[in-house]
Amino acid sequence: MPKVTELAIKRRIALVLLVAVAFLFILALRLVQVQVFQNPRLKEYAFNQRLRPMPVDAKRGTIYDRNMNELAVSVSADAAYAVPADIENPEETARQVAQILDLDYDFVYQRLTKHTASVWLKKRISEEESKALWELDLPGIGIVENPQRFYPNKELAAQVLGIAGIDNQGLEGLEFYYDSYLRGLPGRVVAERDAAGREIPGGIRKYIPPVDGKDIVLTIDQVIQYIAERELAKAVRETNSSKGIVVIMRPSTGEVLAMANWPSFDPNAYQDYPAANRRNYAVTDLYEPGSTFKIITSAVALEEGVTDLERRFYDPGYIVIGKHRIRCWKAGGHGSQSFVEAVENSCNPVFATLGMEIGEEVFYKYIKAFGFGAKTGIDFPGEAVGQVHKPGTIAQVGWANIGFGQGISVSPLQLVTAVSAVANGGVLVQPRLVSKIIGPDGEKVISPEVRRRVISEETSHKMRRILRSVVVNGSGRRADIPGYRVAGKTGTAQIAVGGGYSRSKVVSSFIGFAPFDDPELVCLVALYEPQTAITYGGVLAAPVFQAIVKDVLEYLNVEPYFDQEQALKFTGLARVPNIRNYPVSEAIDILTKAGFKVTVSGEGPIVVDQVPKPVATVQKGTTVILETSLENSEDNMPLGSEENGESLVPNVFGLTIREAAAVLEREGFLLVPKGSGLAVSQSPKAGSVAPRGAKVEVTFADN
Amino acid sequence: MRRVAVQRKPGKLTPDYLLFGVTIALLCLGIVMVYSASSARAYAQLGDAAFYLKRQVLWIIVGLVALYITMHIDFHYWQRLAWPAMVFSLVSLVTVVLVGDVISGSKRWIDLGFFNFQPTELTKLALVLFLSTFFSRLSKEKLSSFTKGFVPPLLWIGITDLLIMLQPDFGSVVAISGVAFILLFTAGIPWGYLGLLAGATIPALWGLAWAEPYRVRRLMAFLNPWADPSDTGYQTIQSLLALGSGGFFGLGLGQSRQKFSYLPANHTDFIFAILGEELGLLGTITVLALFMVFAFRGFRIALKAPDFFGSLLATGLTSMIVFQAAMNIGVISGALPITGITLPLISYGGSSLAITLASIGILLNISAHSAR
Repeated sequence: MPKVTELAIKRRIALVLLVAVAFLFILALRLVQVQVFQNPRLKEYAFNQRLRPMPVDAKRGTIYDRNMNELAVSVSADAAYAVPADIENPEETARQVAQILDLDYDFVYQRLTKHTASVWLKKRISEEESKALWELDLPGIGIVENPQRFYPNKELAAQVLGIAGIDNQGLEGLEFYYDSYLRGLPGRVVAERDAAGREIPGGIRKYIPPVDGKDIVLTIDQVIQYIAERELAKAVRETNSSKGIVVIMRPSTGEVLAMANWPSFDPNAYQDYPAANRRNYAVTDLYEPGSTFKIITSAVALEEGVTDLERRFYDPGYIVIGKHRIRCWKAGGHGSQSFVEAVENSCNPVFATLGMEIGEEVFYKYIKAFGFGAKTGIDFPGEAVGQVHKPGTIAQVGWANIGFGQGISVSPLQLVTAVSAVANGGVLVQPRLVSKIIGPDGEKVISPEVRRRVISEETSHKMRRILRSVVVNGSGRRADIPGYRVAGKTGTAQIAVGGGYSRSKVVSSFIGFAPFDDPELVCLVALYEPQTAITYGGVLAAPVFQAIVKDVLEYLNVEPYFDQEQALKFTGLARVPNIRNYPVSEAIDILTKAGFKVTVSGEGPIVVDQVPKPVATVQKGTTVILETSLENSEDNMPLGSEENGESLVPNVFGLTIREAAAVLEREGFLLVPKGSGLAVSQSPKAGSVAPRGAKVEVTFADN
Repeated sequence: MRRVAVQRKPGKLTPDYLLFGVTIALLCLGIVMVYSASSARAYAQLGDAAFYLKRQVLWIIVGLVALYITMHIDFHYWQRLAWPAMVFSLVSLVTVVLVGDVISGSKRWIDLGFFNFQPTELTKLALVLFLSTFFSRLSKEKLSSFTKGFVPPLLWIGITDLLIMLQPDFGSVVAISGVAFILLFTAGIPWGYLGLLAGATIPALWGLAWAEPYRVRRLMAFLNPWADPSDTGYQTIQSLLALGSGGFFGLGLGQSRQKFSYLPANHTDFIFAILGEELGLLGTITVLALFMVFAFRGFRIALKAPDFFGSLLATGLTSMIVFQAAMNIGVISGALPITGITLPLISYGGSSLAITLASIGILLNISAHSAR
């Protein structure tokens, strides 16, 4: 044997063998690790991978208004998907699919070449797209039905409802907040599949149906919401405001009846609108409440005994606090006034005084108790907290400012909730948007919840009367509705810009409730940055409030209340309606409805006279004799008629000239207007008896 | 100790039966696994479940004939073919780059009509033969010479690697370089040179991998395949899932779930994963044990070879098979980066299987000349 195969070489060969064996041994250990120790985890992963099916989306729950009208529903739509393993020519397929579905080529190509059983290409495809794909019949491309969200009322309550994405997930608003209920559980076809999505022969197979989402019922009434949005949209348009908000709440329960933001958007095509339109500013936005906050200051001052209703104040037009001089909005001031008059006048120096007198500790305690500076806890995402200064963190003049609503930021919803507490007898209720969740296993009713008492029943009672008088005598006159006795407060808050306030940018608002003694609803109207010459809340927001609340209360069948009628009803007496000049059949109808019996004398088609005379107060059930005539002459007209009938002069207080004319004409009086604006006084006085056809002199004045 | 150089006539050989037995055992496992792993896909794509099985059996027959022939040729005969085989290999490597069929992004095959010729497989054998011949002809002094013993083989290895890199076939470059290194080491190249080589190779490989980013991603992916389970980590994860699902006893022959197209190349590069899934740890350890016995016997043949050339040749041939087996198993168990190396004797292999069997024939011939 040659010498070169010496021991050294053999040692080297042995070393190679040793290394090889060691390496194989390490591999054996690795195999034990993978196959024995990691076995449970890997086995499960592999199993899940094979079971990974095309999910069957659950039907998303419906969102109803309080009367079970559908606000958001799920309807079926086609969706396109791909099974990558079945695709024969990815480039060509991607090109065609991208063209038909209007998608990016790279996006499609990347999806078509993924290592997965199946991928979505596009959901909610149109009928034409669906048809075009069917006709091409590309291998590996399929179409399935997949539920999609539809909002039948388009803009209605859009910011409240929010939006849901194409994967059946809530993205914003209530769709987001209640997603876990609405979403349901996706179903699955559980079958073991290979990487191409084909079923494995002899594999496990099972169908798990989707569990449909639960339905939710809102506290919102779609009719009230519609009224609010209609009037708000009109007002925003007419005043060129940047945006507007209306919140209507039932003060006793915290139920939100309407929550409107304008401009709005159509959630069916939300991509077409600016993102800002999707925000529910009523909950997520903060602003300085201005004079509307005087409601809170007043309530605290009364509750704490800082003032009573009769306390007199003198306003020279300004007040000096330390080095600061706070001016009243009225040049020259309001002079001597009672507390109630100060609220009517919305007198800033008085409220600055009250803010100081209440004292920062007490004031802060109440502000927090009214729910400012904290989330209201409403069932809506992204609620704003607001800024409330803690005692000792700002100068004394700061608390004077807060007294009239500056230097504090609140959300519209916080203000409505706090005023609800003032109006409902003094308790802070939990505001909420959803009243019921309905699932297959029954319903879950969300009951009203009182959070805490803030002020006494008595203070609340006083506040209701004060705020009523603000509407009757003060800045809120244009908000009043005959018969519904509105109470409320105007506000014209400058928008804080940088460190100071903008002169031209204001939030013009009115917050009020009606009827004042037993409020059916609290309503806030806020117009942001109106571009009009006069931007006072009493001029811009109060009429919007009036228009909304009038329709809403009528819709809710709230009995209008007229002092005299009410008194008569109480005693069993009734006023005989004036049915002269009415066709007989109509006259009988009116009288019967009013609770009278009727006897007709004569054969004519028209009532020419009646006994008892119109407006006479008689016992209900009295028989009214109608005299009829064949003639239908000018002479029978009530105005200027030769009859010496007498009527009660109606109250026209607070009405416009046209409204006053209509009211007087109905009772047969002639209007003699003086001045312009709203009626402030009249002669003869309301309730006095005057001959029909008499002139009633009404003085109108601007507020 | 008496040494007898045994020269026997063909037909009266007493080769290493254990090595032969191990080879047959691995081949049998291979036939079963190739069928199990490929039948579903073969049926789906080609309409014949036994498509790959038939070809595997055919090539095993061809390979066993080759083995029978090489076993009966005195291994010294191959020294004469060392140069022509090396030149032929390099020419075919150039050819494959120029005219080869592109299969999954690489040019590896030359279509010869009746079968696809893969020059790389032949090159592995040719280089082992060439280096063994080269070293066995050097004197001890020249072996220790830097310019005469170290640089020339290095150049040949370098040219070979470069040509294979052009295909590109990273796995084969690693396998060939590894085996060449073992031969340099065994031949007695001084430690200093080897250290120098190792020192130079590591940055070179590093640079090569960085030059093509997809290789970097693939290389890195095996360390944490779960970071990108649907792309770079996909193959590692799928083979781990197969192995891991097998547990101790496996799901049973034919019961693999992963073979349903989750694993690419499941009858070639990834057959060991399917084997692990169906036959469990029992199966994988058996295969590992068989290769371990193969290594023992192969290196034993090298130790007992009648001369230096026989020792080197046996070391090279054994290393080539064991090294590739270890690489493949390392890849599948997630211990090594994915390189695209088949499992010798078990993977569906075609012509490369025949060449492997022919190499084993040479090894058996050396064993027959062993010193007793």
